[in-house]
Amino acid sequence: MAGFEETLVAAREGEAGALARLFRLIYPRFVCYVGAVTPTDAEDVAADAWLDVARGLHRFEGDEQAFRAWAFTIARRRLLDLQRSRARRRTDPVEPEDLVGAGGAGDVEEEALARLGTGWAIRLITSSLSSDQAEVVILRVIGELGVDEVAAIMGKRRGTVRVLQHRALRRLAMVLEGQGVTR
Amino acid sequence: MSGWDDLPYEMPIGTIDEDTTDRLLAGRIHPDDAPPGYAGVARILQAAGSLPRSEHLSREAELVAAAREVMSLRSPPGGGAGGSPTRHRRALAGLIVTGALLGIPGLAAANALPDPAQHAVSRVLHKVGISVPGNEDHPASTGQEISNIATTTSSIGVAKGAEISTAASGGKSQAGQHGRQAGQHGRQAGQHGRQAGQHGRQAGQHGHQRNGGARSSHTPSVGGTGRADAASNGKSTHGTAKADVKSGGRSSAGSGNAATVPTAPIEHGGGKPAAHP
Repeated sequence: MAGFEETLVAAREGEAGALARLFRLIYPRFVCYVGAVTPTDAEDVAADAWLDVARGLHRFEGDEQAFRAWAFTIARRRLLDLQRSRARRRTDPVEPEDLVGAGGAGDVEEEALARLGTGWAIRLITSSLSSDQAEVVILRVIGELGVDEVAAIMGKRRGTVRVLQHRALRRLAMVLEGQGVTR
Repeated sequence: MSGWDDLPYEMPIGTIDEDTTDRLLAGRIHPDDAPPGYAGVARILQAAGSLPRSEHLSREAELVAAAREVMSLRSPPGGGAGGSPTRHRRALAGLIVTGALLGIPGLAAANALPDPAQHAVSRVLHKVGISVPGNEDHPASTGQEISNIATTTSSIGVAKGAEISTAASGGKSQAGQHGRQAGQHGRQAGQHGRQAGQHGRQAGQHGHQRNGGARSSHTPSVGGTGRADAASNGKSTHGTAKADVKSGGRSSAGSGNAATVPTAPIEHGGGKPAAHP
């Protein structure tokens, strides 16, 4: 398996296998990230972002972590473009009843979490948190990005991102523990 | 149960530090090891991070091919149709600068610029050895050249002034072409004798001049007239060419004379010596 640097060099030359490796590295993340904001447009926006990445591949220099951060910057720009052009609901809200609707007799959390998939988890995150909090969590979890990278992508200060992520986790905990919700 | 309020128990939610937050977000804390109240958070974050990649890879072949296509459309680094907007802007700015560098001198060479711009461009290009219309508009454009004309010309009086004025204005001056000329009209030096700066009648006409009339000399002065000069015995800095004309070129008119003619007081009735600094 070629290292990231070799993959990048080959991808710049248009080598299909290398491009496929980069595709697998970022495209599913794009879909999840964009889908958290606008589920119905996730595939299209992710595809556009991927093509933007391909167009700009010759300009990129860095390792895999930097590549993810750069790619998410592009995806976020695409997302903002879409949001500007459309007035659309940010998310499909999830009612608390849906989370416990299965109504298992014992451990509700276990039953709910047993049904968790990535999409469901992301929907829970986006419906429970403010948009900034949700974006920080998703970029950190799905993009596997650090605080500094998320701050750069979102155009916020490092301390702001730290506060947002701390409040986001506490809020998620409160939602899951059923201690009331106030954003 | 119909909602969160009906949950069977509540677990206290502790406070987590930055490091724990980072490890939870990175999926490095197992739900069983999570701080009190954060087990569910750990599970959700792990679930969110375990991307169902296969379901998003159905378009892989299509999008990789599309990526190859857009990359092939892009020109090699350094130019071409795939250039960034910044590159296009730089190229446009370069064209504008180049056009200005080539166009302005071209317009100047064609004498097509407005006069001030034509003169300015002409001066600049003249300094680098390029001659365009506008440089020769003032053949005697320096004070030294004007002074040379003034001190060497054989013209006298109005004719001299006109010559100097013509040289200084690049031929645009009409001095001496209109109006009355000294010696022909109006009061003339030596006849009526009111002398500038002196208030008296001019020596030579009424016999008030001590040294017997205006001194003969060239008139290097660029200003001044014979009247005051004659009256002040060559020390006047004022006056007109009238005295020079009237005295047949012998008047010591002009401030230049003032420096060359010996100072002597004027003695005449009613006349006062011209004041000199």
